[in-house]
Amino acid sequence: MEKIRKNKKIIFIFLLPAVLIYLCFEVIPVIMSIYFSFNDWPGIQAIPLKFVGLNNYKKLFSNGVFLQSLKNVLIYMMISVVLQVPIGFGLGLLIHHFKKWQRFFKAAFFIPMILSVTAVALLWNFIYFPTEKGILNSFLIKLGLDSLVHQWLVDPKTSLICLIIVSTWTSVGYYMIICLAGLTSIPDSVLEAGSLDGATGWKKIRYLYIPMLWEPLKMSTIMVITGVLKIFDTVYILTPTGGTGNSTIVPALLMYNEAYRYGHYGTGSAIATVIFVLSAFVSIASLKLMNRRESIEY
Amino acid sequence: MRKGKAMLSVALAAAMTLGSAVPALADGDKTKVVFMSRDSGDTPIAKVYEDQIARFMEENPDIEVQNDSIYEEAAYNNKLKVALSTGETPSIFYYPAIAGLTEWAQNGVLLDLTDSLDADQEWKDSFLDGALETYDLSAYGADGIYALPNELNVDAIFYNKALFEKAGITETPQTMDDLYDAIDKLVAAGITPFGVGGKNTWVMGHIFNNILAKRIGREGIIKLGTGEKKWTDEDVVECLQITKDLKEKGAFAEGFEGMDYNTQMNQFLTGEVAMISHSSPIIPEMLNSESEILDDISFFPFPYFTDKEEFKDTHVVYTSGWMISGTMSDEEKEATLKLVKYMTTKDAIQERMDAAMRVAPYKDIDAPEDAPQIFKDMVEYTGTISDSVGEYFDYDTCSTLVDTSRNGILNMMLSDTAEDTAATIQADIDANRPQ
Amino acid sequence: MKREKKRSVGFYAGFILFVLVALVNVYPMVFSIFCSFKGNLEIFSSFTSLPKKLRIENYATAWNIGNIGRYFLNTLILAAGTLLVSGLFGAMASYILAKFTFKGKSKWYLLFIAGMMIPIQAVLIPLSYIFGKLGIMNNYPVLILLYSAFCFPMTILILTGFMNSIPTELEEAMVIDGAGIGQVFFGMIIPLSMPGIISVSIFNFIQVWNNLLFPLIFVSDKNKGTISMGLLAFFGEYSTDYSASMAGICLTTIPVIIAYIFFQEKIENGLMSGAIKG
Repeated sequence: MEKIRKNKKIIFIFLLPAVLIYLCFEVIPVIMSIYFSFNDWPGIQAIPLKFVGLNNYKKLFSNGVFLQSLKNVLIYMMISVVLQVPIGFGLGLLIHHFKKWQRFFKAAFFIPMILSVTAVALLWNFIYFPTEKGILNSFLIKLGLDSLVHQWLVDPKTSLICLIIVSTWTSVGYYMIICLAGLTSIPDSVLEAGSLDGATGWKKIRYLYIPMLWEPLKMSTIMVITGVLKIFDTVYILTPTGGTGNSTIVPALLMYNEAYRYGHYGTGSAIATVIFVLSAFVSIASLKLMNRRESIEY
Repeated sequence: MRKGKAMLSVALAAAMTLGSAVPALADGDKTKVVFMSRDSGDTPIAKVYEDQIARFMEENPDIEVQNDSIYEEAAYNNKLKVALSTGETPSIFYYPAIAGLTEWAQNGVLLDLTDSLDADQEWKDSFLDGALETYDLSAYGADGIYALPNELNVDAIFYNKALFEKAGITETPQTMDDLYDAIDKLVAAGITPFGVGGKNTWVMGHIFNNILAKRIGREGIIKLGTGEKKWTDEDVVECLQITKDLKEKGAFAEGFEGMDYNTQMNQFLTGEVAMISHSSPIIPEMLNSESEILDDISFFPFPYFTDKEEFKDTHVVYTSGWMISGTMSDEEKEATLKLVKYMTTKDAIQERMDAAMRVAPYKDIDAPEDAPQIFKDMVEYTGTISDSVGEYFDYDTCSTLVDTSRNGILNMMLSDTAEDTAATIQADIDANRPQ
Repeated sequence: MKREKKRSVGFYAGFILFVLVALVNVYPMVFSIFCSFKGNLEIFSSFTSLPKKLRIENYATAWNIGNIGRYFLNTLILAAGTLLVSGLFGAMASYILAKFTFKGKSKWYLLFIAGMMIPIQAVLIPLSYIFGKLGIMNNYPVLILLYSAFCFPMTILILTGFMNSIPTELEEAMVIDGAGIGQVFFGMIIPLSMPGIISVSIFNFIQVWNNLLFPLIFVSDKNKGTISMGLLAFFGEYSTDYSASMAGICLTTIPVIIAYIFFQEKIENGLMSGAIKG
């Protein structure tokens, strides 16, 4: 077996198709994009690239709106990790328990994920609607909490958290599925053994499920992080301008505007590169952090 | 880089042969024309264009027209920008800019239409007087006419007659003081004066633009665009302040900053609000809805300021144009111009007006006999306009101005002062306007 | 393997609460269905009310304008191709990255994972530049490879994780029994990683299903359009026809949900019977 594991021919044949496709359609365009970030280019073929060195980056980091967008997205990321992974896995564990209604539950929590962005946006617009007619506001009034009624997406204090809630709502279903997939691959005997040991409640989660599901947990965390750092759709549709006083501006939205609205393709590419480097850094850091704990082999 | 790109292409081509079939072949030896407008889907105007293109292709079997129109703004924008970046400029396309076209004009992306127009005097004469000058970019350093004005969107205030009567307003407001008076009366009667979808920042932007037009006039707006005037000038700040004060007067629905324009329209059409500020193409949209107040809807021009009587007759009219690609072969160019002329004959323009109530900048086009009164009134009003101005940022080469100013205005409605807003906008221009 | 467990009051309380939460979560879908039967003004007059009468015609409009039938099929073809390519090649690569040893392995792994961090908008212009040069627009095989490339990062991340946790002894036993690498991979690794493959395929499917940017830029032939492009047709000139667009959304979403529910049960049963370990 050890010999097979080092067999260059097998390694080559198995890796080749994926590597080739990936290089052509993703790596090469990204490298081109990084190259663009050192140039000025108005996005017209007739005008050649003009090399400007680090100018685009210098401009970016002296731009208050860009710095604000970095701050927003980091807050977005931290809250999302704390919300999405635990809720998703919590749902997964609960559903695993409730064998009877499993199909209904799974579909119920997974549906938001399947809905198109248009539908999601339309719906949450009605929920966050700024007047008393809004679904959330009218609900608060029914509960007698009139003082809480306000313009959810307009008020800079609430707008970002409102967007995070929408993201969470759409994606927890997926982490739930990952959790369930992880649980399915754990042999029943192991879970049985855990139960026989008399572990209950928090202890069971802490000493049985978390170590068992460590790999899926790790993956999900990375997915949340990388997903949030490039987030665009939700923000663009619910707060197209990036919110009152830039309270919900994120780098991908800025990048979109710079490249596709203002024709500053170099600056746009520079933002894309920053997003890329930032998420690489954060995810490698969190991988390192999570790798310290060994998962249980069974 | 060139060598790098060649290598990329080779690598990619190698990958292609592995997994892909032969690319689809283009249609024989037909000349291809790509038409890309913002009119798509189920709208009457989209159908008119679709029909005209179909008829054109029937009459010209050697030309194939591909209609790539997309309404949805972001989608349209993505597709157009990608096309421009790869040099696959659509033969005919739309882009909302005037001064902003300069760089494209200077670099051959757009066709200078001067010669083509001069070569066909009859065609040239069919445009309304002065209309072609809209896209004359010589003031910005690109000599020539770089687009054909294709549509006129006339701004006005649409109002609900029944609600006006209920509030005791007998005359439509002529001056801003009349308007303030009307607002007071409506508020007193418990009616929200204006429906505004602030979330779509163009709505507040258009209201501000009207105020600007009525206070600094066409010339002032153009000076603002070329840099002769600054946003921090007293009269511009004053316009911002007037816009902000409208909110203090209770002119807008509560929570308008977070509503979108669909909500605004529906508030108006269900009789919840008395007025909306909008432009002429909204008329067919309103008439197509199932609203019960259609008979009560009428419009009046944006009021003027009695202390600025000289700009009383400056009206806001948004012109949208068709840009023609400057990178086509002679054959393609000929086919494209043929299509454009086909779609702008007197009959074709009349067809647009009859079927879709579109007002185009061409002479001798009349509203059809059986058209609804409000539309006839609009066509008549359009005919009386001799001094018109578009959107302030149309005259500025700073591409970020549209967003900075509109976002700035919305922030001003929420909290910022007029002075700070002006300073923010001016700072953005200073940083981003090409020298 | 039946186990009898005492159910506490807390369990039932939790269960009921959970049912409620789930219902709240389904409500948006119900809401979309309601809206799809309403008129435009009706939607705005009250967001949550029941439709006054069932406007079936919204669905007819949606079907015709959005060219839903054709686009549905197109999108299905694209999605199926992508799942096949990304699933098979992704699993092959993951197996190597999880179980084999060679120089630079972790670098290859990181290179793949790094793809997750790339916003699609950032590569559009370079990609279309290359595609334009090679004249490969409107080409489904190319589109499938493109989608697959963007599916690989997630696929490889998840599948390597799954394959890592497959005990090495199982492979060794098979090899000692004289099985070749192909038999080990298809006969054991793939079946054991099925839960992972399924969950990542679901994810990839949704990515392809909802992706608007790629088909928008790389497909200009109207007959080759996708669902997401079809939905764009509902955005009218100055206002959006919400009722028709909601009908369109329902038309395109409900089959996916139904397929999902069916799919899920089939797969789970298959897993139970095919489970090797335990």
